[in-house]
Amino acid sequence: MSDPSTETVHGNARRRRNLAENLTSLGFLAPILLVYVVIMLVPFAQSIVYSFTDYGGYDFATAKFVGLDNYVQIFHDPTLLNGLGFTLMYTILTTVLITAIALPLAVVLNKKFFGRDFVRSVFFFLSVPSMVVLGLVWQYIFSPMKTGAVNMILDKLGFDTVPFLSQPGWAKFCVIFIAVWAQIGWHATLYLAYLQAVPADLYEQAQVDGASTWQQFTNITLPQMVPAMGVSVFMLLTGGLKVYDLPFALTSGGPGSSTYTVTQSIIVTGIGSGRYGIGSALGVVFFICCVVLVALQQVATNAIEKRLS
Amino acid sequence: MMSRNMKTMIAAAAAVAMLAPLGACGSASADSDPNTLTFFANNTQDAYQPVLDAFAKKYPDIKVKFSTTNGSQGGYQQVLQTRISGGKLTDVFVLPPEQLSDMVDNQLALDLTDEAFMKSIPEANKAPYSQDGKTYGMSVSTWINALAFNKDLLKKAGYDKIPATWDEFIDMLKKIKKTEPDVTPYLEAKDGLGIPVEGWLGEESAADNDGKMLDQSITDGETTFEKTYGPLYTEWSKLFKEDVMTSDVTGISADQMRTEFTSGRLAVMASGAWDVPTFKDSGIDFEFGTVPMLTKDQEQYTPGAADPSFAINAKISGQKLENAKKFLTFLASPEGLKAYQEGTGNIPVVEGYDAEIDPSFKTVYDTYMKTGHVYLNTLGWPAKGRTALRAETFSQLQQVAMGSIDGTTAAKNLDGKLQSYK
Repeated sequence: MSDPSTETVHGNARRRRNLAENLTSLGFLAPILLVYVVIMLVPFAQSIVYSFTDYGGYDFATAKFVGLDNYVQIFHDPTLLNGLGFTLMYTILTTVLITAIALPLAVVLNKKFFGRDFVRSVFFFLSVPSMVVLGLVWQYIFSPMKTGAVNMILDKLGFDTVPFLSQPGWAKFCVIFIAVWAQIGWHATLYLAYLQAVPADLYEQAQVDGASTWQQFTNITLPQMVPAMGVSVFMLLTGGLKVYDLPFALTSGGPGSSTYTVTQSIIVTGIGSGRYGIGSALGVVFFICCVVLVALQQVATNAIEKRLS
Repeated sequence: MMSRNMKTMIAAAAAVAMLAPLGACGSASADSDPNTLTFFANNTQDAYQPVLDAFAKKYPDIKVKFSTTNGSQGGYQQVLQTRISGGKLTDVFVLPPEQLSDMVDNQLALDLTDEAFMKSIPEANKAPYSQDGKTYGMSVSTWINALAFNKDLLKKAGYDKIPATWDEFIDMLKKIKKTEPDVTPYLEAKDGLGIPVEGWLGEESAADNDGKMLDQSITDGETTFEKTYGPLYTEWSKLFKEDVMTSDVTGISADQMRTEFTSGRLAVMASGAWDVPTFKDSGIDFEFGTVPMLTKDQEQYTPGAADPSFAINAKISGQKLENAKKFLTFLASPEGLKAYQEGTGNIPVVEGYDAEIDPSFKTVYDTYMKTGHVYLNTLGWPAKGRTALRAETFSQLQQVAMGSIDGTTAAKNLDGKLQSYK
């Protein structure tokens, strides 16, 4: 049995050591926390304040308190509602399609075959150019005129030309198609990294037990990939919700307002028009939508993880 | 094992490293050196290089730090606004008419009314940059839209120029379509639709509205978009009804349209003087024609306005202010204007300076620039809503092009949008 005074001395020493370690950790975290506070939390708090005023971006001292007027106005703007609809459609469809394609693609890229490294590089390279550059290039590929690259091929093959960027449905398709095309390689690489950490003996065991390839995929690969899916889906959701560059470069939000996005609204209706109050109200509403969606995704991912573990 | 002191030192170093970029954010954009002028412009560095070089040659002691957005005019306005919000306004900057009242109300632009370099600026170019009798921007050039046409393609259809009236113009486009089935008769860019409509509005303003901008009357509540724009949008929509312009136009950018024209696959396109060098490089035989009016007896008008002006930051003083005035004086001098036209392609209209006009642009220069028959609808709209309302105009016209709404509905929708900016 140890002496209580010795235990107290050891306890105090442990607490001092923990405190020292915590302070050291805080020392490492402080810079990034400070940056986060300065460039994220402070501007967000400012946005909340601006959203209740008619601030025009010049002198906040002259701004007037307008209550909830800005919030009422944004829910009566049909262009904004269109933007909200397309942003949600873009986010959900790109998330589902990229996840559905990238995961099997990662499984294929994880197998041994001739030129595997080259193929991996090609898929990853798609995500390297910026979305603005891709938008400008694809504008020529999906041009609705006969001289557009795809339409030229269709014409040569004897098919009618397709109004790719000049018909709302097709324009939405083009934006989502390019987003999926550009991002599958990056997300497949993410899955690949997780796949390589799956113990090979799990598959060997399954093969010995006579499991088919499909059974191995559904019973071993998928459950092991849930954490990776959580990360990938989180990134796709947050990236999709704030999308601006690709639709703007490809369609400028048209035809009409069919590919208009919420971020474009914040920029054009708010900042671009010198109406920081409206723009900030839009930003706050959108932030709440993002928090709800991401929280739902986190809850769903955690539930799936628990069930499969 | 790493000592605690070492850990602390690394943490401190990391903190300093992380904070360094923030320190950079805090540095003033207006350089503290009195002989360094900061200049924020709405065009590329290439476009302003001849001006910067000529100025550096004349004033070797003054350094000009140039910055730009490399984006559209709308993009420039957004960045300028953001810079002002962050207290980063440069010493000299390009002031768009849309931002004049905010700049003046917030005492950001210097009053240039009595400056010597303003004496040769035409009144038409001072007006958009004046408030309460004072002028805050020096606009040295005017932009106009005109219709560029491929002379060979028009000749094949039996024409040597753009017809004077809208109906004749549509007839010509039909003939081009018939004689050259693989050629697109006419295009406007998706974010520049309705160019003839603005010309017609200019004429109506001058003839039926005592010279007051029709759009100002709409903003003042004396009339509506539905009453004024509605019939004109309906006329414009004949392009689609007669199948001489298809809904493809809603998916075509200005660059794509230019490529079609320079490749000889497009007969007529909405354009301006800025396209002359590109057209010349392509080797096509082209010329610019006037915008067809609705009837023969109407005066000819086209979309256009004084170009964005050069302004001086009202907060600067002393040597820096003197240098800023030297820069504007140089810009308004023959030497500066020559360099400005060479780089930007904009046509100077400063009194006493004979701008070089390309022969292909001579007709429209004489018709519009010499007479001042230009009209820009946005100048009559509420300053806060101009950018968004202009974007909405194109959005509505795209829907007309697709046939999902008619011209009257498009105009009515603009009335609804306008209400939210009042």
